[in-house]
Amino acid sequence: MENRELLQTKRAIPDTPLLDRFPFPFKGDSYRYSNDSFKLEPRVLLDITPEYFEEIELKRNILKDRHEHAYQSMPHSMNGQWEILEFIVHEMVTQHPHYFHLEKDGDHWMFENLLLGERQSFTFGDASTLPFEPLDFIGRHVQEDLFYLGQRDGNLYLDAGQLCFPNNWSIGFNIGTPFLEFHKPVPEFYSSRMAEKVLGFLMRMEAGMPFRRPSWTTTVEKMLPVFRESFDEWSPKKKNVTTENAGNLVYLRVEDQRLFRLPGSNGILFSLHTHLISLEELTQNQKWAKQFYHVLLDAPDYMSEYKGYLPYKDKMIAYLSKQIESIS
Amino acid sequence: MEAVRLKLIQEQRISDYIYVLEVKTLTGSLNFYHGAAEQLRFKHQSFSLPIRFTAPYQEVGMYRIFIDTYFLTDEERLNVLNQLRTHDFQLECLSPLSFVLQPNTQKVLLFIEEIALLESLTVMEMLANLHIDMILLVTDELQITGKQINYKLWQDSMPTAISFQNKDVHFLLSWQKIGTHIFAAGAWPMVDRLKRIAEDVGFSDELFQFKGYGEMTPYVFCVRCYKLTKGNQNTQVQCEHCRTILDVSNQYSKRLGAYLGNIKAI
Ligand code: HEM
Repeated sequence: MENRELLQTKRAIPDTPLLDRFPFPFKGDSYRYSNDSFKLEPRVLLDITPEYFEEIELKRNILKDRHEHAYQSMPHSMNGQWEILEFIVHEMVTQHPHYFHLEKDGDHWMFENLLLGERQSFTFGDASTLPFEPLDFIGRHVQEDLFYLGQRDGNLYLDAGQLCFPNNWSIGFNIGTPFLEFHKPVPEFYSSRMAEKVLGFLMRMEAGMPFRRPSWTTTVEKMLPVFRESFDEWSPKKKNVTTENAGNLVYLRVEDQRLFRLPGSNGILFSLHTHLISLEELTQNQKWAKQFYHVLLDAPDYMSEYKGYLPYKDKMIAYLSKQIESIS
Repeated sequence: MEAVRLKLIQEQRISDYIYVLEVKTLTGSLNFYHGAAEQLRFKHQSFSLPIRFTAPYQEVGMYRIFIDTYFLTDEERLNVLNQLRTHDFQLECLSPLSFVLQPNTQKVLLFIEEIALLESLTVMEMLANLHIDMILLVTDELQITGKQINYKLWQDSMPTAISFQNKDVHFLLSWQKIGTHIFAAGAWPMVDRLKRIAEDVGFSDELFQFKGYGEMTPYVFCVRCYKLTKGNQNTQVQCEHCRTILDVSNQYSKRLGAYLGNIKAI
């Protein structure tokens, strides 16, 4: 009994307050699209937060209810998928041995998720021994959305992806397409040819030298899945934002994006971990509140329009300016 | 530049409208070994009709020309044949063949629809002369027409045509060996469909060549049900499958051959 309790406490995910771990994306008072990736330190993909249990449950429900909107793969992505599974399991058991466990006997693997109390035996490399495709399987144990990009013909193709918490884009439309094609809608980023430079940078990425970048927008209500596929369900909510309720209704949404070269397939593993914080909670950090206020004031309309907050931008600005005044 | 003058040696009617002409050059040589032309020009008269040619022995100035007389009246057809038998002639409006043979092609899967018959016969002739393995995949309709094609040069070397309708093309493509190329000649919807499958299976642009005929109908991808509906960019259409009203963007996926149709904002 004692032992078990000890294990339970060891396994409990530390309840660090959101403000102490939120990946605030801004360096200064202005934000423009740029080639803003920087070296990832420490070189890990997983960020296990107190929301682990609820987010995994949400992910799995989404995958059950609308699988094709949340998971897509090209037939030739299988090798890359296995490499990702191996990469993540390796990180799980070396970085988080209290949460995950692996027993290997040749190609026979027994993977155990101690947080969820689940075990899965399978033969590495034989997809018929797993209940889902390898990427779809391992993605159900992590909070991150995961993508495999295949590198060939001087291009990177979105060959497989598990996307449960999209920020208004469709994996079904974009699966199998090249980097420049799926970045075409991003204003300025595509037309200024920055996307081409970023592509060149990604294709030169080396194994063992991962990168990281934050991407941000805002979301009305605490909603991780923002599917383009159900635009009609969430977009009318933008109308409800007022200066008075913006603090509770609007969330700053940050995607912590990480990029890893996969040496076996020579592809890229792209992960994104989405974090949400209400404007009200954000204002508890006055420095952040001021920075975000200035970023919004300074943001060009093409960017606000693309990111989708233009209809309630003034409300956010009014709310933040009040909060900054009332505290300082 | 000196005009390339050609003289008929032998002719053969191989279907209701298609003729194969065995010709030699009197002066000059054509710019391409394998190509297309739009006009037969005699000294006093010219005729516009679909023409393809290929040079079976390349260096010796011999060509095989395929002409399709479908669009000519009976009178014009007789006239063309008479002229060919008695006069030398030139080919006008030349362009290279849509299909280019890449080095180290070992085998070609040739998908054909009837609309592309002339082009396909020329490609088949080219491949046969170069001793490249080919598999002919045709529509049911063309399989019937094909049986009526009577071309004695091919009696031994021609493979039989298999129908690809109701076949698992995805599966067929996925077990092809390295060195296999795909040629698709037909109406756009068929070409688009094959293109999509070929890309899914991992054939690069180089390995998949095509010639599309007719109107290129743009499609819209419904972001809700993931099915395609006919429609163009920057318009509004209703999805034929789930009835969602779509605001069609200008974002185009080559893989899907379709524009992204977003759910209309209310
Ligand atoms: C390699 C993996 C990557 C994938 C799979 C990916 C995918 C995407 C997708 C699907 C979108 C949304 C496009 C739409 O509206 O339909 C997007 C947006 C964007 N991407 Fe990427 N991207 C990747 C890497 C990068 C990198 C390295 C950069 C570096 C600058 C970048 C910059 C951007 C920007 C600026 C946006 C607009 C985001 C916003 O304003 O909200 N992406 N990306």
